[in-house]
Amino acid sequence: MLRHTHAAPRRARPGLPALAPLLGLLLTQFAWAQGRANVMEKVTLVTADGREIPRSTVVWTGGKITAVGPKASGGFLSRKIDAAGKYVTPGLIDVWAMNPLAQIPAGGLASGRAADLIDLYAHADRELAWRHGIIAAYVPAAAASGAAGQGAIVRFATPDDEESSILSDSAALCFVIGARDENPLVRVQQLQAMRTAFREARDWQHAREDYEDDLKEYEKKLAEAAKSQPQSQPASSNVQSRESTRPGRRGGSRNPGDDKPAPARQGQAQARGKQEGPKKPVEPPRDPNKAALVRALDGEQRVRVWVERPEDILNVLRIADEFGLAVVLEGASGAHLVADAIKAANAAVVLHASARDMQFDAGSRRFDRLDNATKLENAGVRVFLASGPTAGSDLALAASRWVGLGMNARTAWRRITGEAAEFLGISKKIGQLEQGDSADFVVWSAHPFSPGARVERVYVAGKEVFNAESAQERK
Amino acid sequence: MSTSFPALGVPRVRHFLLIPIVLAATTAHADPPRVLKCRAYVNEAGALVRDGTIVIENDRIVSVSGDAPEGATVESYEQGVACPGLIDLDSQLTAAGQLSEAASAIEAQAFAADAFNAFAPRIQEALRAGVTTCVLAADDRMLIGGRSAVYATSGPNGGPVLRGPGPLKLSLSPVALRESYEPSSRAGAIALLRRTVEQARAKQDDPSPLAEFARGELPGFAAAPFEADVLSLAEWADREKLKLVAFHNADAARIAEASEPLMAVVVGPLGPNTNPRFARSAGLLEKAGRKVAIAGTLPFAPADSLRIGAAVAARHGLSAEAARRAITSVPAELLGMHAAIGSIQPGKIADLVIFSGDPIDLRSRVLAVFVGGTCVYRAPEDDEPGDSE
Repeated sequence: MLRHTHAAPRRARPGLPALAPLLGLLLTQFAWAQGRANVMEKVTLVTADGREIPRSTVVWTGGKITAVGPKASGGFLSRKIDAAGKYVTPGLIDVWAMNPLAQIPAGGLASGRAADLIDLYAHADRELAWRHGIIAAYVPAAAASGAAGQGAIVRFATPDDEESSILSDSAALCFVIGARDENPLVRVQQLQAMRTAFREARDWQHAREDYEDDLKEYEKKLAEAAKSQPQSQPASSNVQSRESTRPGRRGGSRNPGDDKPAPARQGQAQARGKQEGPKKPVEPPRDPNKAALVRALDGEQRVRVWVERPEDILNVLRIADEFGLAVVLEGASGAHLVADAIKAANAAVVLHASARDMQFDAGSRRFDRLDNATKLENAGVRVFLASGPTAGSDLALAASRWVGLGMNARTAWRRITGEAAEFLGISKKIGQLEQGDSADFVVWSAHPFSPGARVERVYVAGKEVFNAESAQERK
Repeated sequence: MSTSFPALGVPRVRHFLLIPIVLAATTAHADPPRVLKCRAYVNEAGALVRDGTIVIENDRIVSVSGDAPEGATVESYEQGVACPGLIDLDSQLTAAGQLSEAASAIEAQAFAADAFNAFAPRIQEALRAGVTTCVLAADDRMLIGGRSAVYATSGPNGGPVLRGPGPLKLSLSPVALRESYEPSSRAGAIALLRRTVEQARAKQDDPSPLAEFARGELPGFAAAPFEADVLSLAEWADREKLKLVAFHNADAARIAEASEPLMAVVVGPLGPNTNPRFARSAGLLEKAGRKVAIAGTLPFAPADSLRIGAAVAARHGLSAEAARRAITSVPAELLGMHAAIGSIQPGKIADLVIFSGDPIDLRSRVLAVFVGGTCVYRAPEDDEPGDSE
């Protein structure tokens, strides 16, 4: 029988029994460092696509879900959290929640940002959202009319969360057209202003592109001139003919056909053009507002328009078609009357939860109908439900009302959870309740659509951020 | 006297033949009993009870569970849940113009029925949402607004019809204060109210509504937007033994106990945007043992405001049974009409709504509405119902 002898001296290799406590300590340290797993058992899951799965388990460690479903289990070191018999759902997503602070004065500040006005420490707003099970919201920049600015996406986490609470500060370009009961003439002017804004932005974009090309040519010529002649003429202004058709100057006339300054300059330019040496092209002034509009023109950013009346909706769709914009209609109480046009334009619609009252109305929302959502869905338009001009609505209650008005229950549920997250482009981060996703979920007393269902607890990134009982005691 | 009737030119003996014919004709018009079979119905405690077989004869409910009588026409609603017709305690739907006097703060003799517009628009919309009874009263701009009127949203001619006089309308709202004459202050308003009611009580056997209220016979519906208003009303009711109902739609946490001398507190309208601190008032009042009703305030709210209000209150602490009672039997009690309407019991008027599920579950929709035993609305068959669990 061979005896296995150690080549090295014994003292350098301690025996396994002595190693065991050390290993155990290291493993435990490792486990604690990873974070202890948390487990909720015997809950009914309502997934982001509307399936109800009873007798399920949710396991999360740190801020991520490690296992979820009927077969999930936590392991023997996990912390058990009692939620037996409750319903666990992904956090609800509010795709249009106006923050009363995010009001930017009207005046075409397309570059203004709602994100600058969101107070991440406003606990009341966050708690209101959590109370309704909402964990993230799109907040538009608001204005009385016209270009309003850049919308933002906020996640309702605690401010000291290491994950940033503003998920996006340029989620969409916001416009407001005819939402404040304006008379027809004013609305025509708003639409015209929108069209002009995009046209000027496009012209400015072309001017900047031309400038870039001219700059390259100029530098090329400079280089050639430097090679051929040791001395080169100092560059003077103006490359000729194209300058006159650049309307994108700040403070310049709105009318692109107006080129009064140009002939004089052109004459000068032609006179000077006889001189030697390349001329440095003049940069069209930078304009962040136009740059914002250009992003929308390039299809890099969605345009969200708060518009109510059917005729205004049609005009907005025409503008979107003319400039190739990806448009989302918000408010859209009159959308059911023009559902086919909306479908043809492939635009999505965001309706809000405040139901219109019964009075005859001369205002912008007078075409609202209870079955607006159902009619749009039947015509093939994708409809979302959100809080709208009043933030912090009970989205689950409003969605259950939609079901009563004819919408399919699973569709309505998806539109406030998984599809809403996809729509906002944040579904990789939150909005689903699947393994590997962020542990953002809500514990309800019953199915969120059933009468008397209440939000009991809200978890964001694995931490309990809201507890209805302790919130009640605090008041 | 065997003269023939000159007008008819027929010998008198033949008239006796007309009598049985006429009698037969009138009895032929008596409605045969109608039976509604439902999956469940809402009982007087507000709970859902399985298997309702509601027998209606003429305009009354004859029985609620049990067997259908022979030969009766049976309407079967397999998924249907029968609920008493919804009652809105605060509605201006049938108002013909404005019901408040600008020139005086007290119009004790006014009767809202004088401003009733039977041709008002949008009644059908309310009816289709399940509202069968509404109360028309002066708005909150008058200290004493006069007598309110109770009407059914559908009558023999298809339009709304008055059912009777209702409670006295009062208001402690700041909008009831005047600029250049009494009352221009809250203390003045309460003093004026007390004085006026005292004077009415002093007159013995005065049949006017104000005197009835002063004697504690007629309830008063009082707008009380602030907590202090509710406390003032409670104190007044306790001292003078009055029947008062406070309409308070804000936080009730601090007044739930103190409102004990009041008949009830009415909240509403509530919706998905209501501040949760206000929405929990109904639940807190119920826990304190107070009667709670929920108002719809049509047309200043969506047509299904009563159900939405009940659903919101149920999500914020009100029990499901109390939520169903808050829009049916409690309003009927406060109007003094609970012997006739407000619950599905034998002997009551057949004001019913058949829902496709629990009435306070907003996923349910209205399948049919009955007022006085007549089916006044039936939902179209081709509507695809949403999935209601």
